[in-house]
Amino acid sequence: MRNGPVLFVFGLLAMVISWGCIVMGSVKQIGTLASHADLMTGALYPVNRPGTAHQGAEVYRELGCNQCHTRFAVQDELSFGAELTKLGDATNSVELAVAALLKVNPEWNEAKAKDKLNDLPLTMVERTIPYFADRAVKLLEAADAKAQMTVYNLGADIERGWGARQTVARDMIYDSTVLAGTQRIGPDLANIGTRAPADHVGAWEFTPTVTNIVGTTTNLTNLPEDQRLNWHLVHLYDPKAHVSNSIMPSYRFLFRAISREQAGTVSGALKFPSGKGPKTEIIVPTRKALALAAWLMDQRADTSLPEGPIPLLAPAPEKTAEQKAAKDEDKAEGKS
Amino acid sequence: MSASTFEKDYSTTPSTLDDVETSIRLPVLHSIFAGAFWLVLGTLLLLVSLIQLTGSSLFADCAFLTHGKTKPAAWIALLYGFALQMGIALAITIVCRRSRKALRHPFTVFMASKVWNLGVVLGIGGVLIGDSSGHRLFELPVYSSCILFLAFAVITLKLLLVLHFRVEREMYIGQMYMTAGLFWFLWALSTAIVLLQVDPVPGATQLVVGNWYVNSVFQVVLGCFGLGALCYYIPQQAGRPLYSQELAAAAFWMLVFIGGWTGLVGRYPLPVWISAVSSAASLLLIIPLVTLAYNLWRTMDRDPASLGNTQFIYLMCAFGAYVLWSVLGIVYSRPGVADQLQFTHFETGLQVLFIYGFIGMVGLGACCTLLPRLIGSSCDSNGPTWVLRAMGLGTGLTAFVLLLAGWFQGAALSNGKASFMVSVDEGTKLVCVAVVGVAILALGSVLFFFGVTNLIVKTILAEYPVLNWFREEEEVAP
Ligand code: HEC
Repeated sequence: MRNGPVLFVFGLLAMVISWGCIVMGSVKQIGTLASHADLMTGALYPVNRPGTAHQGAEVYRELGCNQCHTRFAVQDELSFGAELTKLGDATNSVELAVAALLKVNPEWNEAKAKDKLNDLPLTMVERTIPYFADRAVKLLEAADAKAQMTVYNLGADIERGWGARQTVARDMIYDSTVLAGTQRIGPDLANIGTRAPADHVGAWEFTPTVTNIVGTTTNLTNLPEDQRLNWHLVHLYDPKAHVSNSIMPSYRFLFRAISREQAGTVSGALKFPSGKGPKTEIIVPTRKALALAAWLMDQRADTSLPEGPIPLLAPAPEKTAEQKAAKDEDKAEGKS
Repeated sequence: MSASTFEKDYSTTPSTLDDVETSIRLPVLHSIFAGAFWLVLGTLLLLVSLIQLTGSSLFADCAFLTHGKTKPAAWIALLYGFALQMGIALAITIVCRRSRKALRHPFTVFMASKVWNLGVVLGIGGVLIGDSSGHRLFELPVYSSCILFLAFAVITLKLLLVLHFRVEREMYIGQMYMTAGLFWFLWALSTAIVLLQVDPVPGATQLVVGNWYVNSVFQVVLGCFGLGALCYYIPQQAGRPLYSQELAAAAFWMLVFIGGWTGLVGRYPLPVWISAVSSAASLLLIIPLVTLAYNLWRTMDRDPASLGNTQFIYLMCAFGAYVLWSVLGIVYSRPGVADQLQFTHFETGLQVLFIYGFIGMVGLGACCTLLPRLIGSSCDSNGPTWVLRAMGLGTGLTAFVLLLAGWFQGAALSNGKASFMVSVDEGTKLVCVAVVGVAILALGSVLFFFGVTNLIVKTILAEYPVLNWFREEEEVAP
């Protein structure tokens, strides 16, 4: 290995190949993504963020929130299940269903299958490939029963209510700096703007005017905006006010403290949960804090895209029930 | 520098070893000194950022020292201030010595190295005042990254001249590693500056560029600097040539061809082929790793007596850390593993292992012989041993605990039914132990810094004027 130029050319080649394929390859593939127009409504997604929220992104970058928070939800590969919802009307419908069930699950015996039929809807197969789920549905439908396929196990992020679907490259096309983050010292914030109050780490109550919580996406349109804003601002001022063992730093320097005597004319002061917050002062957010909170409330990637469809069916019902029970328990504990 | 040296520089007439060492003294000493300084500062910042992660309200009222700023500032100091600067010092030393040519215009290189440090200062200052670019391990504001690029380009150019006029046409493996590291860094840094800062690529493509850059810097650039130094110092220590030049060259080429591909293991909002290619490339890295490890192992003097030799232990630690780091990286790339470990302290653990365990140990080990030679007075022999103990213990403890924390944190994170705070608590418990580890590291780096300063100050006092250090002793050729 004496010939410098030859060595140099080889070295250059090594560099250029990886650079060309990985960097330039992806620039070509996803560097030109544009907003997606919905086939039915023509609505564009994503759209460029409004002014204050855009400033909020700058504050987020400046303060390094991305050192502790990621901004992309991930999703496991889809897996499928099948569910028996209703038996047929025929007199021998139970026998037919039992026979079909034994074909679906050969390891069951007749008694077990009959027993299971008492409690509908019945999960026949869980977490499997589409073929088995589909086969189960067809077998049961042939037996005159009503059955359907379910999609589930989308992974921990979706289960926690961190998003309706995984984040895809298109969600980020209008981010001037992609503050994706790499560590989850704190929760993912890709969809913090859609997060149901109960799905926050510090779950909270609001003046309930809304009942329509569907699956993991929440229709937040009726949720009082000022309450959400206040939640975020209080959380930024003192995370421990919402989550007693939070390790998120307090961002007190984004707020101004005014003594109560002088505060008569000031509006927009934070409303702390009872027993929290300073006693002698009121706390007023600066513009930076407001921009940051506005930006957080604007974080939502809940539009179905061709490359990131929102799975239509919620996880198997029993799971949700369990979850609900767990949540209720949590709440009960929190209150006591 | 004598007039005759200047004339010889544009030819392949060999310089004497004395000439070589005189010429590199100023820039190398400066880099080592500045590197030691950044090591101390970076470790202290890392300590602060980890303490903040335990839920303490340290500096909570200070907008400049919130966790989101102390953490990137610490890693800028450690990566650009310490690790890359050590890499520069090693590159200058090994390229010039192996080429048997004196460095021409060492003052220019010295100034470039000053400018490099200015870039680091601006980088850290910029992050603290909120100018961070927001890209992982490239949080440098654009005014800092451009300065770093300029400085590095000058140094690379000067070393390229030395290489061009090398006496022995055969390139040694040490020289190849160093040259590859220099070029690759220029390429990677310019890519990052242009595609992330000057004319940012849109959206998620920034993730690809950012990760490609970081991976290049660790896997290839610092990997080359560190391995080049190991391939140079281990044979020197063992008193015999490298076991096989061919194996070394093979490992080198595989590393540079594969190394650039491995940066995007895990789940990202990107097309899946990118992470699939990355995992496959990571697995392939086994081949150069085994080749290299075997080669160095065969070269090493494994006489138990040599275990008393501090420099040998430094090099062994560095070698061990590199192997462990690579193996963990390969395991991480296996299906399912990253699913649990991505997003956790595991990442920080790997970084600690690499920067302190590998680059730190190589750099400090090299200093054991390099410093006394450049300065001409031997150092207190207990100093390096104590630094070694502190750095070894600190690195081992911190890295181990953070890797473990990552494991537990990841297990909690991937259980969607558990409250998120479980993962926080799992992480925090062990981060408290890591704080102790980093405190020990801080102690070690302060010792190192004082050792270096002490040596330099002594020499300056003994041999004023500074820029005319000539030494009388005979040197033994490496
Ligand atoms: C030390 C790491 C850390 C940093 C830095 C940090 N956070 Fe957090 N964040 C957390 C942790 C831990 C939680 C969970 C506990 C809680 O809600 O306080 C959290 C929770 C949150 C939540 C509530 C999420 C939910 O689902 O309940 C929001 C919103 C948030 N952080 C925003 C921010 C913003 C904005 C910044 C930057 C100004 C920031 N965080 C900086 C660690 C961090």
